[in-house]
Amino acid sequence: MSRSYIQLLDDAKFLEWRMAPNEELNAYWDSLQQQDPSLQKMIVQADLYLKEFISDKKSFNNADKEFLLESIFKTIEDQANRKLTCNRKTITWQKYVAAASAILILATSILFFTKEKSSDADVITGSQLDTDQIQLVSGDKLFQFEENIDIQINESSFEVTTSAGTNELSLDANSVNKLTVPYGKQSKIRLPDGSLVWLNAGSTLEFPSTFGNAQREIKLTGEIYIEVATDRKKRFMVQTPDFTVEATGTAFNVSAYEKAELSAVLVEGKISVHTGGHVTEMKPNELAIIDRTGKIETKTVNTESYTSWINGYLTFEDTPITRVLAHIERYYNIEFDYLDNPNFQDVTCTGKLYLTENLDHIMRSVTLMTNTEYTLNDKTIIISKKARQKTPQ
Amino acid sequence: MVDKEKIETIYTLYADKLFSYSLQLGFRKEQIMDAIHDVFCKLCLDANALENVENIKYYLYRSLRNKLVDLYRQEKQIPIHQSLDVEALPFTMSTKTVEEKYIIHEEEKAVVAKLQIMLASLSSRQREIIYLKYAQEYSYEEISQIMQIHQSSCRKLLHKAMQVLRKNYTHPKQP
Repeated sequence: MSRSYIQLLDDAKFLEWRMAPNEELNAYWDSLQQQDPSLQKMIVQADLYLKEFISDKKSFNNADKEFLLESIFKTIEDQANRKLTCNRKTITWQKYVAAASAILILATSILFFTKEKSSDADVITGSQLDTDQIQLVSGDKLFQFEENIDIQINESSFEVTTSAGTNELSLDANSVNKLTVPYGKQSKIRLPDGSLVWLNAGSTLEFPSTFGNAQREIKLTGEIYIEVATDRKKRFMVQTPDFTVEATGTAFNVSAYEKAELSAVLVEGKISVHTGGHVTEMKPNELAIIDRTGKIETKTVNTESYTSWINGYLTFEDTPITRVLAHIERYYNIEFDYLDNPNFQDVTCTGKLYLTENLDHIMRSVTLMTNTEYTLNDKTIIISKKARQKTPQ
Repeated sequence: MVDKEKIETIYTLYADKLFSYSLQLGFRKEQIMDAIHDVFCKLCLDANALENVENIKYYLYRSLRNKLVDLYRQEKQIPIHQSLDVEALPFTMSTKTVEEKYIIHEEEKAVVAKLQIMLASLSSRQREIIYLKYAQEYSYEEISQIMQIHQSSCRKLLHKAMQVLRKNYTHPKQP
C-alpha cells in the first residue's frame, strides 16, 4: 500500500519512530520499507516536514545579523587590547571595579621596581589534588560513587540517582547515616521528612533513616543549602561543631568549613542561630557570621551570592581574590599556596563563575576578572600579576 | 589573536539556528542578540572550544541556553532557591512557516491540526527535548549538558512525551 507523507504524519507509530526510535520500531519500519520501496521517499518527505514543524525558522534579518557580527568583532578587539569593557552591554565577568584597578596599577608599578628582589612574592601557586569518591555509610554498609549523586530516602531504601541511572540501595532503618562529599563533587539528598539538602564540596552530613518524634536533627561539617519541609510540631536542627541552626519550615544556607568563615544565610522563613553563649533570631536576607568564640554578627546581604552554588555558579562582588580561590579549591579539588602574598590582598573580583566549566576556563575567567595571568603545568597552577597593562577604562 | 575568519564562519553557520532556538524559548530579539553576542565573545576567549570545531554547535547551544535561563530568572525575579524549576520557560512550535512552504490539501489539514494539538499538549521541556533530540540530532549525553538534567531524566522526559503522543493519537481531541 502506498502512503503519502501526510498519512505518515497521521501515524503515531511513525512519529514515535522518528522522535524516539528503539529497536522494535526500527525493525517494524525496516520491514515496511522492504515491502514497499516507494515508502522511503515518503519517509524522507515526512521527516523534512516534521523537522520544520518542530524547529520554527523565523528568520533573523540580515541587517541585524550583520550588526551583531560587527559588534562581536568590536568586543573581541577590545578584549584583545585588554580594555575590559564591552560595547553592547557589560558582560558580568568583565565588570571591573575602578577602585580595584587603581590599586592594581599602583601595585604593578611598585612591582616593577622591586621585581628582582621579590620574585616569589607576586605569584600564587596551586596544584590539583587527587579526587576521592563520594561515600555513603549506613549501619555497617559502605557505598561509594564516582559521580555526583541525588539521594531520595524511602522507607527501607536509598534511591540513588547518578547520570547513569537510578539504583536502590538497602537502608539500615535504625542507624545514623553519613554522606561524605569530597572536594570537587556535590550531592543532593531528600531527607525522610521531605526536606531537600544540597551538599557542597568538601562536606559531611549525618542524618537518621527516620526522624524521631520530638525533633529533626542533622549534623554538618562543610556547607549545605536546605529547604526544610514545614512541620510546626517538629523543629529542625542543623548542628555544626561550633553552632546550631534551628528552623521550622524555611530555606537557608549553612557554611561550616573547618578552615573558613562560619556563616548562615536565611533566604526565607525564620531561623535562629545558637552557639555556646549566644542566640540570634534571623530575618530573611540576613547573613550571620559566627566567630570561633561564639559571637554572632548579622547583616543584610544579597542571598544569591551565598546560594548560587546549588545552581552551578558563584557570584562575587568586590570579593578578595584569595576568597575566590578558596571557593575554587573546593570545587575543583585544588590547593593554592598564597604564600602570605601581600601583593594580592587588594585584588578583588566582581562577576560570575560557572562551575560547570573546565578548570582551564575558570582560571581564565578569574585572571580576566582580576587582571592576572596564570599557567597550568601538569597539576600545578601559577597565578601572577600581568607584567604590563594598558590603562583600564 | 583570535582568528576572525573562523569566528565569522561559525557565526554564519549557526547564527540563524541559535536565533530561532532562542525565539522558541520565548525571548525578544534584543535579548537574543545580547545573549548571542556574549556567547561569541566568550567563545573567542576559549581556545579549547575554538579548536574543537566538531563540538562547537553543542558549545554554542549550551552557553546560549545558560545565558537565557539566567536572563529569564532575572526578568521574572525568581528567587534563587526556586530557580531549579525551569518548567515555566516556554518552548513554542509554530506551523506558520511550514504552512507557507507546503501546499496542504483541505482533507489533509485535519492531520496537520492533529499534529499541532499533539505538540501543544506536550510540556515545554518535552517540546524542547524533541527539538534537540530529533531536529538537532543531539545525543542524550549532550542534551543532558544543554538542559542541565541527568541523562536518565532526559530519557524519562522523552518517554513521557511519547506517552502523550500515543494518548493523543488514539483518542483524538476535536480541534
